[in-house]
Amino acid sequence: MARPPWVPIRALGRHHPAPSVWRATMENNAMRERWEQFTNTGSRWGSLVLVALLAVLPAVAPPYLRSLVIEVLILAIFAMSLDLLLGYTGMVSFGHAAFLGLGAYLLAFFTRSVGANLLQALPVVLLGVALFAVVAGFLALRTSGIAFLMLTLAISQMLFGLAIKWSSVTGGSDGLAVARPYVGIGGATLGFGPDRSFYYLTLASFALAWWLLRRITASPFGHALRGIKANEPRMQALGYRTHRLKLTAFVIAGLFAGVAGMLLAAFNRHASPELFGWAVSGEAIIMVIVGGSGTLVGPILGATLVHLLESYVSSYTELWRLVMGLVFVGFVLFAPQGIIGLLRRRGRPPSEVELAAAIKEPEPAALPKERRT
Amino acid sequence: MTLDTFVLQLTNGLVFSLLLFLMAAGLSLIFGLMDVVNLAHGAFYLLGGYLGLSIVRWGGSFWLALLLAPLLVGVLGLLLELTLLRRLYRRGHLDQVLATFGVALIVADLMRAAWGAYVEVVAPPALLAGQVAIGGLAFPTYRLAVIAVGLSLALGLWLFVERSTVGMQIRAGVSDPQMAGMLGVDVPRLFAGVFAGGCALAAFSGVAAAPILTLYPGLDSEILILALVVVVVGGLGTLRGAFFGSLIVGMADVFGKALLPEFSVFAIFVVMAAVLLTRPAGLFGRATATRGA
Amino acid sequence: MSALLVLDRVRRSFGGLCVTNAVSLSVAAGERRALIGPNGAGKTTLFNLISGVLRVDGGRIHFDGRDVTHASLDQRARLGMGRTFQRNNLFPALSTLENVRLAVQQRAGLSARMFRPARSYHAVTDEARELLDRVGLRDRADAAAGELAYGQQRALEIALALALHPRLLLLDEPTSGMGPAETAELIDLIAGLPREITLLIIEHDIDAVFRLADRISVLSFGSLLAEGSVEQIRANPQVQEVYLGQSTDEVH
Repeated sequence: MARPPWVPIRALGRHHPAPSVWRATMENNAMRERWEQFTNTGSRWGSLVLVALLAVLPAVAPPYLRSLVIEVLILAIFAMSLDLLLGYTGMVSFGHAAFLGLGAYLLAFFTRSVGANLLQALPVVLLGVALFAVVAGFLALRTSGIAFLMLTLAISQMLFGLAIKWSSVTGGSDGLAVARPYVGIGGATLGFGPDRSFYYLTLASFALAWWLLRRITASPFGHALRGIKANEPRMQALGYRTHRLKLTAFVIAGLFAGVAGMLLAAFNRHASPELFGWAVSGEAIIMVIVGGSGTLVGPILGATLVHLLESYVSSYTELWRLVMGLVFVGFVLFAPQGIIGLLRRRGRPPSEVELAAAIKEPEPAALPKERRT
Repeated sequence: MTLDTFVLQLTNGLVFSLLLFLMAAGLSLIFGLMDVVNLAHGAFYLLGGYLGLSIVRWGGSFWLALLLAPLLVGVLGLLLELTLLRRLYRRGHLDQVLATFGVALIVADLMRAAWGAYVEVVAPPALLAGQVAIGGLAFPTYRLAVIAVGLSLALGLWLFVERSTVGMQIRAGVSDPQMAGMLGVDVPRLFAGVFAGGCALAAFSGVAAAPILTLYPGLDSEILILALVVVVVGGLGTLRGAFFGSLIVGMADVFGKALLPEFSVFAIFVVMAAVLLTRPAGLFGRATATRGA
Repeated sequence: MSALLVLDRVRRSFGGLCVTNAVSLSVAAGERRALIGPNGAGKTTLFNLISGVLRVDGGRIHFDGRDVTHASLDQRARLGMGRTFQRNNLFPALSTLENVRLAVQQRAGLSARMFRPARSYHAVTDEARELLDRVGLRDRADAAAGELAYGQQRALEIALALALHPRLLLLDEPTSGMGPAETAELIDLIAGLPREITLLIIEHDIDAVFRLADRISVLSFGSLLAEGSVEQIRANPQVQEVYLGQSTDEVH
């Protein structure tokens, strides 16, 4: 749609909505679209500014903050990857931690048996994650809805059990140490220690993951996923092989989560069985829901908020999960669209459709289900 | 494995299966009726166990614990249903599931605050502390008692669901809540009742299992996940499925641990994968597996 | 003319109720066939069996010489069956244009592309806009499908089906719930479809049926009661009794 000349191009990238002004201008479609883009997958300028700010951060921030940001960025990759399933495709996986743990453990195996060159490790680990994702996805996608949720949970818990019990290979509950990773081509190597280099490795991974997921969610494939979320039987009637698309989304999400797991293991120099735990999967869901599902900015916001809350609260009390649980239940009750939803609500009045969607996901209507027969 | 150890393991498997069944029956009925997976179910199981521990410590008997703990947890479940889940009915099941997950986190942390992070052991009542010799084999009396109580509870539950008026309403609600509502069933009250009852059953299971499985933080999710597998294997929403699913999962767990300690989790999940590949709706499911969020 | 769609003794029952009872039907390529019958005759069930929403209990379905009895809903759609639904079945939160784009991109084989933005596939967007033009929804392209008026949603259903470039178009009561003016427009639209699109249409509006159809099949209690040209059906006393009943006067 053509943008009327009087609408400033970058208006939305710069300031947050001043509600009164906004309401007046939000009638304008181009404006609305830009605001949605900004709160959705991130506008080009907004994301560049964010990444640039993060790039200069180590120069001014203490090491403690640097570590905190590293963790936030890794969790943001993890949460974004989950949202590809949860928010975009409507597949509620409660076992996304499986891929985080798998990435971490496969990296640990690789560094112990072959070496810590990330350039070699990356394809091998990702191949392993992808193979697992295909098998797990094939099994889990025989069901949908709540049963899918339970199955993904069970599958990740199986890996958790394996990591704990099969101690001769996995190190049991102690987990495995991970060698200091480096990137090496020929004789030239670049090591990633507990200094700025790892920060930049993480930031680069985050920026790349964000960019790729933006491309994917905006692509025809991404649109098809949204169609599946809205009305899967109708998509089939349009000729879509929805099962294959969902499996593809499952594998892609698994790959990004695997990368997050590799980073986490490389950062902690350790892969621990807790990475497979249902608490980790649940935390990722919390991040997505609190931030705003069906967007990419939402999981980034959610990961930031949840992790900062966690490190802040846990410095005062052991009971940070209690606090997080309360915050989460509050969001589920009063703001199911998350922070993004709150921002949008401030930005403009929601349309009828959005209200309806906020109350209930639209149900696929007319296709009679085979089970009723 | 000799015949003797086989018989003993079989007994252990049966004990574990029945404890699982008490968990899974509530989970399954709640799901069948309300389309909600109660992710706080494991927390309620553990809370039951901890409450039982405290009741015994404060001088109450094990029997009092077995009665009181489920009652308290049942009331808690009722409150949860009335204050939280009810508000989310119109919004779809996913939000309810997420809310129960939040509750699981909250309850787990509160339990950690109240009972600490140690492994707690609850002694079985003196009456059942010994062993019984049958055919040259010594069986712990308490385990035999759990089998007896578990089987009678399973039978009682079955009779309740199949024969009683309330049970009929539950079955009507499981197969078609709207229709049940039109037939004059007070559906919200039924939901609240079944939810509370399911939570109480979980708590009962928690008390009864405490002398065998002990109590520790993290047990809530372990048990929850096994119960979820039971429900997936048996088929969502059926008591029969929960029963046979429990037997399969309980036996697979016990024998898996005895035969292949490192891969015991695999035994369970191989069973689950096999069932899902052949019958996606579970062994006794009515193709309800496609229902949900 | 060769037969595009052949049903051979197709059966389907729900519980003990036989809803489709050994229905055999042959629709020639390019033909326009109406499927009529009283409420509960099993018309929509037959559509669901043809399009693959439901599986047959017995019998065979051939489409374009191929046995599609066991093909899935999406396979049949890709083979060239487009259909609309009796109750609007859309993507209510997506824009009208986006609804059609989803259908167009599938047919164009682009749905697995994941690196270029969907919006940059201008051919898809252009075709979707053309289709919206054709069904009279040009002005509503940016409105959410769920916000459209009922009749507009019916039109959007047809746009979705047409986007698949179907060789067989199954229309399930396309004019239901529409006012007279809207109905007339929609019938004009359907009548103006190219003859390459074979049409099978369930419709209650008898005038519309007589205007659109080359041949008519009458379904009653799950069985095929009669089949013939418009004139034959009009004159068939059995049909008049079962279906046209009271309305014979109006027809003549």
